[in-house]
Amino acid sequence: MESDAAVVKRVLNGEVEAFSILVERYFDHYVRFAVHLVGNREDAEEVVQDTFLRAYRALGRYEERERFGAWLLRILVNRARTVSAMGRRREKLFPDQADAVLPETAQAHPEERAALREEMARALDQLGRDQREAFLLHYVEGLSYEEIAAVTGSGISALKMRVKRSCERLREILQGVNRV
Amino acid sequence: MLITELRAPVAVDPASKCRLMDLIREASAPAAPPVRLVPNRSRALAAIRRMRGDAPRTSSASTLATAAGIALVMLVGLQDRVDTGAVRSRRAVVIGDSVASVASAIRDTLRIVQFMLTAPAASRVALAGDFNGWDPREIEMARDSRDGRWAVTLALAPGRHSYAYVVDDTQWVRDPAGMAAEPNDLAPPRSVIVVTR
Repeated sequence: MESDAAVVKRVLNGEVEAFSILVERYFDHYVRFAVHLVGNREDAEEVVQDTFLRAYRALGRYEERERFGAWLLRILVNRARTVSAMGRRREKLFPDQADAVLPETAQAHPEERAALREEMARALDQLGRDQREAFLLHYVEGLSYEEIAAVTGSGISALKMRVKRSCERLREILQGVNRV
Repeated sequence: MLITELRAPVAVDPASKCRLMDLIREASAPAAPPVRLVPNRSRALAAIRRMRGDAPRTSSASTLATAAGIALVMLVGLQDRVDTGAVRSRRAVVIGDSVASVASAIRDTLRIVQFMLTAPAASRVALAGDFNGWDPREIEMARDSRDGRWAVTLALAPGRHSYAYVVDDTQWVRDPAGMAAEPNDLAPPRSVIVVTR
């Protein structure tokens, strides 16, 4: 598979259509992440679309020593913060929007999953922005603390504390459910 | 189990990706990175010696930086200051002429622009704009401890640039002395500078 850096070089050399390779690689994944971050699908898609546009315009600044996905994620987190700071309301994903963020094939126990989704959104909504970011980046995106530090600009020890506290807080909120 | 649910893939409408690619095709080509210029006393003195003919001239970015630093010192007392409560600003200034004698080769492609904001209570101020993908951490401004003024100097291509200051990593403020950009629901407050050739 062609590396992200090689695709970026093609785009910078004038092959605009090559950018669609990067869109295909990251768009869906980052919409999922943004939904959890900003709390509703509409804002999430807008944030991701804006992220790709900004990344395209700033592509000349991308440096190969950094993973393209991490660079893109940094722009996304900044955009999500801006949207949140503007007071966009985190909306419950249920019941209408929840199915849109879950795969259609995974409907083995619809009632249980619906309940779980509701618990999940409620719990994430109760975390502060920084804790929610750190939790999602570490446990859902699987980033190392070093990578999260590069994305968020926060120190590693502070991030470890945020993740620890977010887990504690989620356990409190989901008390009795024990699914974290 | 919660983590598994959070990792579940998303069903995205393929049309949204098509719309994005349409926007990409309509967008201007990716911009070349701006040259970061950090005025430095020793380098400025070296540049003065070079400009006097004491040493061979070069057209490197570092030379450009020192020239910008010199021009900045010469012009800084001439600008109008605007007070807006806690945050004050000087208009972003294009400093082009002093550079010409040092780096004539790039004179026509880049102009030197100084950005300044007075924010005495801030612990960190950065500049973000369309020239750096609105990255709020990349272009840190340097603080003058005497008066709480923050400044950074960039080389920008001629054209219209949007920018904003990011105070303490979270507060986006437009340049109080600059021209306000058109409001946008999704974008933070920002200003516009038109860099002429």
